[in-house]
Amino acid sequence: MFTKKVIKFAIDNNSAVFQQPVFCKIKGNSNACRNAGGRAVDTMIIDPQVLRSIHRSELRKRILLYLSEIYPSATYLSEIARIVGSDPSNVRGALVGLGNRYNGESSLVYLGLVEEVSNNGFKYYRLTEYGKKVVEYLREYYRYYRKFM
Amino acid sequence: MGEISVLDSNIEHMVRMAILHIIQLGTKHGVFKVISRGATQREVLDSLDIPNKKLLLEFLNTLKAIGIVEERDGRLKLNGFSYRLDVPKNHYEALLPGWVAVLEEIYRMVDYAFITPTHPHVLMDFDKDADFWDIRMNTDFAALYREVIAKTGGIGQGSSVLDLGCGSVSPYEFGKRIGYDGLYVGVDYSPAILEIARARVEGESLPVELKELDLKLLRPVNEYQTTVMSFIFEYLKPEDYRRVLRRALGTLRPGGSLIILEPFRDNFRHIEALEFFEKLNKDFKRFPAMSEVASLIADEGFDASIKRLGRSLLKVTLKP
Ligand SMILES: C[S@@+](CC[C@H](N)C(=O)[O-])C[C@H]1O[C@@H](n2cnc3c(N)ncnc32)[C@H](O)[C@@H]1O
Repeated sequence: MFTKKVIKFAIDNNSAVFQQPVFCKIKGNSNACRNAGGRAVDTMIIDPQVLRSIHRSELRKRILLYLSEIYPSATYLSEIARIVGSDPSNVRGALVGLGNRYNGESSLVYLGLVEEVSNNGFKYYRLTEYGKKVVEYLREYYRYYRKFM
Repeated sequence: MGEISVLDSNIEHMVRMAILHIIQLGTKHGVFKVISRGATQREVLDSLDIPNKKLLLEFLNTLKAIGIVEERDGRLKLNGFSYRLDVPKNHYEALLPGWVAVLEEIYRMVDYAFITPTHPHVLMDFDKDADFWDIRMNTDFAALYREVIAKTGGIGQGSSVLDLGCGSVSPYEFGKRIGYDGLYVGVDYSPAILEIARARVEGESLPVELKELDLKLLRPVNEYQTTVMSFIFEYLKPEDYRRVLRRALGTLRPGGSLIILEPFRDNFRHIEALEFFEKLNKDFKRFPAMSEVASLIADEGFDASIKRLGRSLLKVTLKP
């Protein structure tokens, strides 16, 4: 769907830790960690209203799909804007909220789907583990939403 | 602790937690306050500021069924209800987190349903809210009951399985277990649920067929080794049980078995508390009793053995 040219960016020496599901770190639950790649074990609630609202917003959906393509790498705003074919101010709005176009409450960072990482004074964006799950659901529900919403 | 008793413990806990939330709702919406003045049912309905009177009436009936309220001389009375929420020491680790999160969402929906049943925050319709149902059928609890069903029904490589009211997750999960040389047929009347199920199995080349059909219209075919009915009787009217059971048993080949999974009402005290929340789905009727299902099967004259496994599982096996 998108060009494959990706600027891979290793965040820091902890990137291996970042790749673990959040609840593995919190609970130290080895079972949960082992099953994290599977479908069923889950302690993070997915809100259908959030899924629906993202489904309705083409830009937020594209950003998530792109970040999921390069997951677990992070990238910077102008790169995201270039790939999804939108201007940086719209992308910033979708990511962190901006004025009235996207209010903060529905922004991807506010919803916990994307995290903002600062490194040497630069800001980078990366899909969270939760965001990854949400993308998975959006893919599975795509046809259902198209037909039934 | 065996998997079946873990399943039962979790259902038991769902019911106990539901009672707590019923009490919370009664307190929050001032229902107990009005009842404590010795009001009639009509007066309670009229004086409370809850627009959805039908649901309020359902709530009052739930209070009566659980025994929090009784009706005497035409007046409702609170009768000092008390119950315990015990978690025996060795059950803590058996409690699964997934259903708690889902039920919490459902408890919250009641506040909106009290305004109007079609409120956008009420997400219980099989078609309109297939996404919520899918999430619900994707929890650790659902993984456990599927495991129990698979083991009890002998579902594995090469099995042939008919799943009545299959939902959107079982086709993929059972399909994977069965492998390429078996057959899984899922029947469901919700086109939305089936759309999600299809998206999940497509491209996996699993032996899965999905049919949009009301299971009351099922035709007996004597083909399957295992027929599954999991959390499905609760959407049937009791007067349809007999016909559905006859047809479901008629789908089996000799020696095959029908697996029925339900929080059977005769095995879980105060089940009406959980039912109140499930009734936010307009198709929900009531949880069946294990004894009524078992005796209907015996009545039908099938040459079959009926095994009661724990409190929520029935296995009916036809003679080979
Ligand atoms: C609670 S879900 C259970 C799904 C699945 N059996 C499981 O245990 O994961 C109930 C499912 O039964 C379907 N259903 C309810 N009544 C039905 C009927 N009369 N005919 C066909 N499907 C039905 C619903 O659409 C829904 O997908």
